[in-house]
Amino acid sequence: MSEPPPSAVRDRLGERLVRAIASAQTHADGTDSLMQEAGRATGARVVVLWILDERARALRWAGDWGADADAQAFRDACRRITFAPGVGIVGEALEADDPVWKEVAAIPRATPALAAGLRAVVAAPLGGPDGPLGVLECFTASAEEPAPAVLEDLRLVTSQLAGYLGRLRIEERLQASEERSSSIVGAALDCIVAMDHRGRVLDFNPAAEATFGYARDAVVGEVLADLIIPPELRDAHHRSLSRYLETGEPTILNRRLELTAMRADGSTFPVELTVTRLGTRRPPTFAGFIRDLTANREAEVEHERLLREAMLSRAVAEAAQERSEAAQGATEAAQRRLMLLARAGERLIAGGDYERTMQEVAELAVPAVADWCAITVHEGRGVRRRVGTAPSGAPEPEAPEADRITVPLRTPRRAIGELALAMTGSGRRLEADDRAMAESLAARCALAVENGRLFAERSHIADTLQRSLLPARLPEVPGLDAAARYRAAGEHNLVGGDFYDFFRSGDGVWTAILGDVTGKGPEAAALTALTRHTLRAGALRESSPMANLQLLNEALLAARAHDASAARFATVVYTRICRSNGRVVVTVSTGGHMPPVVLRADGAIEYVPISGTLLGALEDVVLDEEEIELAPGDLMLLYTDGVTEARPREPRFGEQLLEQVLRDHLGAPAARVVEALEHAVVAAQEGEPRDDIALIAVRAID
Amino acid sequence: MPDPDRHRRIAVNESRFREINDRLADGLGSLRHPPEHLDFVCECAHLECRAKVSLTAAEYERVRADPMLFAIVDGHEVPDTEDVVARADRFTTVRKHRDVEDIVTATDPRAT
Repeated sequence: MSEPPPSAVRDRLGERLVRAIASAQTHADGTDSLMQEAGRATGARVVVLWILDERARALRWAGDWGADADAQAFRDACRRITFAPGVGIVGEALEADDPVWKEVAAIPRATPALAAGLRAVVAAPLGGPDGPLGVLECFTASAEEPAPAVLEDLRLVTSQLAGYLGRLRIEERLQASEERSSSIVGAALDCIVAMDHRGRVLDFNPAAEATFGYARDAVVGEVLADLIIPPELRDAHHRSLSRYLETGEPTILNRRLELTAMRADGSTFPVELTVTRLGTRRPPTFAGFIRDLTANREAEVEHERLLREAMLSRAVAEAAQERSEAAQGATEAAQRRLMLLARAGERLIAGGDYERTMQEVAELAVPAVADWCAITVHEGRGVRRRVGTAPSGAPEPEAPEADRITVPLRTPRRAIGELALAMTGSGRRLEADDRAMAESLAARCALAVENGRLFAERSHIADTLQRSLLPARLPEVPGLDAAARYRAAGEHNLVGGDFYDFFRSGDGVWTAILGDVTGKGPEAAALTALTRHTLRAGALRESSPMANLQLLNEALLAARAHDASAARFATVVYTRICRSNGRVVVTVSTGGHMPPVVLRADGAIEYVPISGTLLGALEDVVLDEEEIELAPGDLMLLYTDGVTEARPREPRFGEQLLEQVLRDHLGAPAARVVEALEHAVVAAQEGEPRDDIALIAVRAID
Repeated sequence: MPDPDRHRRIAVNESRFREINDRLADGLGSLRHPPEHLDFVCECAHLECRAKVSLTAAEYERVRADPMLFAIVDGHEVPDTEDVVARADRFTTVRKHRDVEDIVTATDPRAT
């Protein structure tokens, strides 16, 4: 039987190699089978497989095959060593890209190799498409160099082994990659759902299982839309998928979308969805990355609820502030009106010149309640006169009707004027309460105007009456310098109780009288008239001052007899002044009045030592007469208690003041003396005198 | 007897509350998840009022579309200054009288 040709042998070897690979149950089985075939092809007793560790750049033992057990020690020695590329026969074979033959005596493992009966080694590289994978060593008991056919067979074996190992390596890498992907998908917190072009589920990770309530095995192969998309959104989903498949036009791919998803129990919840296409293969598959936004949405809703509450609280606070300010404005306006009425009331009650009062009232109203105020009074025959304007002198503004209030000043009998308020430029508005206030203010003004007018009328009457009871002026008396002064106290509309008179009562004889009757007003006027006329009449018939005072007492008593309702008393100092032969002799009598005081030319002050009974009280009065002489420069002063009682709580004040003024005016004309004394008394009382003041000064001159 | 000053004062007050509510509506309009009923301040003239009225966004817009209309709590109307034109469960709509039309129109924040 002839030897088969080498090609046929090699074909059989190839078939064996393919079968060995195909029948291998494990990767190790396949490798072992191929190493065994290498041993058979080369007659090797031991075959060792070295695999290149690319990261370490080292060749490491990866397996071996032995024909018998004697080589075990050598095989164990091989396990413990590594080769760098280019080092040792293994490293050389890796770089040589072709089998390398050596006797084992030439390699570092010679000792264990020889001990195992091995004599030579051929090392063949395992070339892969991306570079060498390793080296296969075949140790033989023969020291002969292998024949070319043997090397060719070895190349065939190593080629198959390299292919096999390459596939194993790819499978390992794929498996590792899949394991990594699976781990990532499985551990992902987000839901990951894979879907094919028909919309059927390819994968459903644990997070999706937990979120949607489906088991993976139950949903793989099912239509995804029917599982997790609410019915009302499914049509849109189907349309979107169809459009993409038809046109390749992505509408939702790789975009982050917020949608509503559906759980297995039919409940819906918000999700964020990102869909991406997996790879480029056709038909396409898709992965959906779904994040449950329920917690986010709840937080967002809660955040907005708090925001809403904050906005509402702010609005409520603003409204409350507006209402508060409106209420405060109304309160302040009411307070301003009340304050105006109170202040105007005080001013109106104070009385005095009503025109000045009206001006003050108008000024009180502006700007408190209005921008402009005017008070006008009617003066009869259609004449109207403005008595108050604020701002002072401001013309009547052209304000619209809504910004103007005019109310009458009305007395019980008639309208006597108008009060007008207007808003001009302040932006304020006149309100109903302002009208009520204006009416109240006008009523008070009307009363004040009416009272002012009555007061003026009565003052005029009283003044006229008062002047009728006093001499219009003192007569010129040769050798005498005489002057008088009169000042009524209190209301100007009442006739005072003090009086004086100075008249010629005979040839070279003059009478000066000064007194004080009880009461004020009409009663005092009547009593003064009685007193004055009685004494005037008496002085013409009777020269004795004392007798004339006696006559007056009787007249007063007689008058009281006619009208017992009122007491009629009077105090009077009566002086009869005779000038003859250059001398001035004065006869003095007093009925209850202070005696005259004399300022001598040398400055000495003397009170005439005379006294007498009040007149009109008793039938029997005690009266007296005293005669004094006035030398040139001497001055006699008659005065009422308005002087001496300037300060009632200081009994001596009035007399001291009187004496001081006299001393200060030594040698002064009579008119200056009485004027100075009146001023001093008024000033001493810090205001209006409480009592009438009547003064007569008679100064003897050369 | 009509008090025009009081009518005008009331109209001014209510217009201010309308401005406040409109600002509030603007803010609420920016929310992503507005509730169905939104709370607003009562637009009545009572100075002591602190009440709120609840309207849907559409109801509020219907009231605001007419410057003479105001939304108030039922019973807060002031009959001599305004007429009730609608009563709902949650609020009452009043229309101001003509005498203050100039004020409520001029102060309408939506008037241009």
